[in-house]
This record gives sequence, structure tokens and C-alpha cells, in this order.
Amino acid sequence: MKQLKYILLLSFFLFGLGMYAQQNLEIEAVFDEFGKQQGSILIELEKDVLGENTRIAKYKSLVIKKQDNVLEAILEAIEVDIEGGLKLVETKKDGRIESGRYCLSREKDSKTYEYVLFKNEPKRLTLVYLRGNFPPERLERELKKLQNLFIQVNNKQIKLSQV
Amino acid sequence: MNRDIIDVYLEKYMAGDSSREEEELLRNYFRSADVEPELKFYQALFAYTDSERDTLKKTKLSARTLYRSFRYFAAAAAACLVLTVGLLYFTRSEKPNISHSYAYVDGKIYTDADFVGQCALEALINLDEEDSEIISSQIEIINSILE
Repeated sequence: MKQLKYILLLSFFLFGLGMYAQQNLEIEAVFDEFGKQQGSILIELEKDVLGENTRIAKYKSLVIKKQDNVLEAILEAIEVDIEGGLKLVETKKDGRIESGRYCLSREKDSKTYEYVLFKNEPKRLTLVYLRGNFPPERLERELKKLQNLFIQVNNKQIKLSQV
Repeated sequence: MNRDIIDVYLEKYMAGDSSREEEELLRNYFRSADVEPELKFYQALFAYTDSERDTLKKTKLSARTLYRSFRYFAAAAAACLVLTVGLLYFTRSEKPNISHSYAYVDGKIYTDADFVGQCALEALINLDEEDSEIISSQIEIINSILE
């Protein structure tokens, strides 16, 4: 009887942990871990900035000085999160991903798409997460609209700390 | 015990008018070995009711045990729920109000919408330094395969 109680207790606990684990993508952990350190720029955009000008509902990006541990963390996270999804574009050099655009797996009838974009440059890494109700063929258009939105808001491009 | 008294108590017992003490006296008498032969029938009757009382006691006990076990399980489930909610609350990412955009630059937070937009622009330009036409055409190829 005692053992049964412990088994049930453990089962409830594991169920709760399972619920918690499903909430987050792996790249979310990358944003959390590296987004607030020196030499990094972490941005999260919500509707207050995005407005109705784009179909992008959420935008999150990290631009960071290139470091081996960060690169490894990003590549591992991308590998986990894109499982079951689509590699839209991927370029490699010497076996290493130089850039990639990925559409994550989604539920069958869902109209919400999630994308991960990544760029591996000699001195910096760029990781972007997008969510919106547009299919992959509209991705470039939405990114252009977003760029144009910011250019229009303020023509002066602020030069941030060198990354 | 006096035979007359037994007869009186028995008559009252069968009529349903006996008190608890009188019933207890009768039970004690019939549990003993000195029961008169003509009263053997009543001895069997009291022996049966004794066994029924024991069964009822056991049933009450197991119901109590079941209730106690249920309380343990309910407490365990509640503890796990509290633990899960606590984990979710304390390990959530620290960020400002979720409805507002923000930027962290070198660890410092900015919430001015224009500034945040400019920070985002830099990241978008980084990504855009490839040939967009190649990217668009590759996406079209993939979509045509999927259709």
C-alpha cells in the first residue's frame, strides 16, 4: 500500500513535469541563457510594435558575438526544434550550417506557423524566431514588410555595440 | 443467571423491547457453556448476531481505511500540483509585461518602441544579406513538392 502511494505520488509529479517541459522550445532556452549578456542583443516584439502591418504575431531575435559554446547551443536547439518540420533553406560550409530558414512542425489544422532563422557569420551569430499566420511562401514578404516598417518609423539607423 | 430473568429478557428481546444492557446480559449468558438445552436455539441465534456485528465492524474499518487512503492520494495530488505551479512560476523567463516589446542590449533593457524597432532592424538586415531571390525560389520549389 505504501509503495502504491509512492508510485502514484511520483506519477503525478512526472505528469506535472511533462506539462512544464512541453511548453518551451529549445531555442527559447538559448534566448534566455545568452540574451542578456555583454555583446548580445535580444529583442522581443509584440503587437504594440508589430501592429497590423504584418502577419507576424511574435518576433524574437538574438544577435551575439560568435562564441563556440553559443554556436553549439544554437545548432543543438535548432536540431531539436525542427524535428518534424521543414528545412526551407540551408547553406553549409565545411559541414557546418552557415545559414538556415526552418518551418517548425505544426498541428494539422492550425493556421499558425513558426519559423526559425539562423545566420552564422565569422564574427556574429543571428537567431530569429517568428510566429504568424502565414505559410512559408510568404515568409520573405513578411520579413521585408517588417524591415520597411522599422525603416519608416525612424530613418536614422542606430549603430549598436559592435557585435 | 436466573432462568426466570432469562425468559423475561428473551421475551423482551424477541418483541424488540429489550434495552442494551439486557441484550448484553443475554449475549454473555449465551456465550457461556452453561446454556440450558431448551435454550440452545437462542444460543445459535445470538452466536449468529455476534458474527454479524463483527463483520459490520470490519466493513466500517475498511471504509475508514479507504477514506484515509483517499485523503493521502488527494494530498499527494495537491502537493504535486503546487510543485508544478511553483516550478512554472519561478522558472519563467524574466521579462517585462508580455504585451510589450523590449530589447536587451549588453544586458540592459530598453522598452522604447522606436529603439526596439531599430534593434530589430539590425537583426533583419543581417539575415537579408543573402540573395532573397534564391531563397524565395527555393521555398517555391519545396512548396510545389508538398502540394
